[in-house]
Amino acid sequence: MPTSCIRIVSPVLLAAFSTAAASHTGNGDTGGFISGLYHPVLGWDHVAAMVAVGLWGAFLRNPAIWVLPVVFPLVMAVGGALGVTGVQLPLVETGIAASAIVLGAMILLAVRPPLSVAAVLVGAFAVFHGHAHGVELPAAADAVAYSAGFVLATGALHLGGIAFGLMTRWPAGRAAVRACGGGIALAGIGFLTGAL
Amino acid sequence: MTPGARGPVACVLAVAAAPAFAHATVEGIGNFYNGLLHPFVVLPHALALIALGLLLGQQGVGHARRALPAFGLAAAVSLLVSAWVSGLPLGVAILSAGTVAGLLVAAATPLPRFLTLGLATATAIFIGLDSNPDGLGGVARLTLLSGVWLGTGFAVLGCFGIAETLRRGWQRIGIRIAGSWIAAVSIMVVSVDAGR
Repeated sequence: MPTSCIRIVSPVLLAAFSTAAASHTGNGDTGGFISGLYHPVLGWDHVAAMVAVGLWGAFLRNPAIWVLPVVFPLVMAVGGALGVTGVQLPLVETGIAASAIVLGAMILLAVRPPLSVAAVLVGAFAVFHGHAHGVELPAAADAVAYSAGFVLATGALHLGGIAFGLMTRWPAGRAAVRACGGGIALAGIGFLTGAL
Repeated sequence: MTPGARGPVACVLAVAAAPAFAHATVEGIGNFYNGLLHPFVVLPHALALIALGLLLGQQGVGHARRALPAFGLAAAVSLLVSAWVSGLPLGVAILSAGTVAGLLVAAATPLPRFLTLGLATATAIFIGLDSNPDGLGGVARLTLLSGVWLGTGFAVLGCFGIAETLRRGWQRIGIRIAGSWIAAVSIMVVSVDAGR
């Protein structure tokens, strides 16, 4: 990771660590598929990070453009399993906000790590997202339908990010994508500080 | 429609109309057509069948030549004996088969033929045993089971045909993404069942 990226990201994270992001969707809704479908979409912290995964994958190009959207749902499901079974994970909200900050910064700064590093980074954040989905699974919901809903919604957000990220083939598009990454990183700071 | 979208669309169609009860019936269409629809309205069954079909198509005709007839035979036998089998954790078994098949689809590595043969046989047995119609006997039961047998066959054959036909790079990627989604949903549901 470039030192410029570390210099930007680290102080922000350290300074804002004490405040938990509170932008997560509420829980307790009944219903299955629709509830699962809405859960990632109505949580702006989820949306920002999911789009960032797709954007970064498109930015990194083959094979990352599809490896990251393959890895993310699988690891997210593991995180979801932890959440459902009651395994406590520290700083979940912070981890979700940090995913937007870090992934957005990666795009903004055009960071191109090895695929394995990118996959591990994305996977690590996926655990937090999945855990949040699992914990907030409505008790009355059909589990299969709910899981299908939030996996589908997550995948759709990835695809949206990938579609936008394909603009990197043009110079203006690259600038737009990097600017979008910056916006996502700023949004992540907002989630972390509670401003959003 | 991309192959990556077909699985999720099938899931949407399968769950949009009714809760995923094991033996939901549609009034007025008869036992045969209820049986035909059964694999598509029970989401764990649908996921496992879609994943298996995609896997066989991905691996190629050589695998399907043995696995598909084995699937048909195993499904027929297990459907017939399902009335005398109870107390088995078939839900977890079906989801586990879907998880394994989904992960193998996502990995897209060449597999030994005995593995696909075994997975197809096991999936057929689990689904067949889990499809016993409560409260039906005699000709009515056999009529419904024959519909179930055909429905499961159509599901697997259809997905096999899709995966085997689509050969372009982005189409193969879409199949792998669909596999990861199916595995992710199955992992979540297994954990939910374990947690409850």
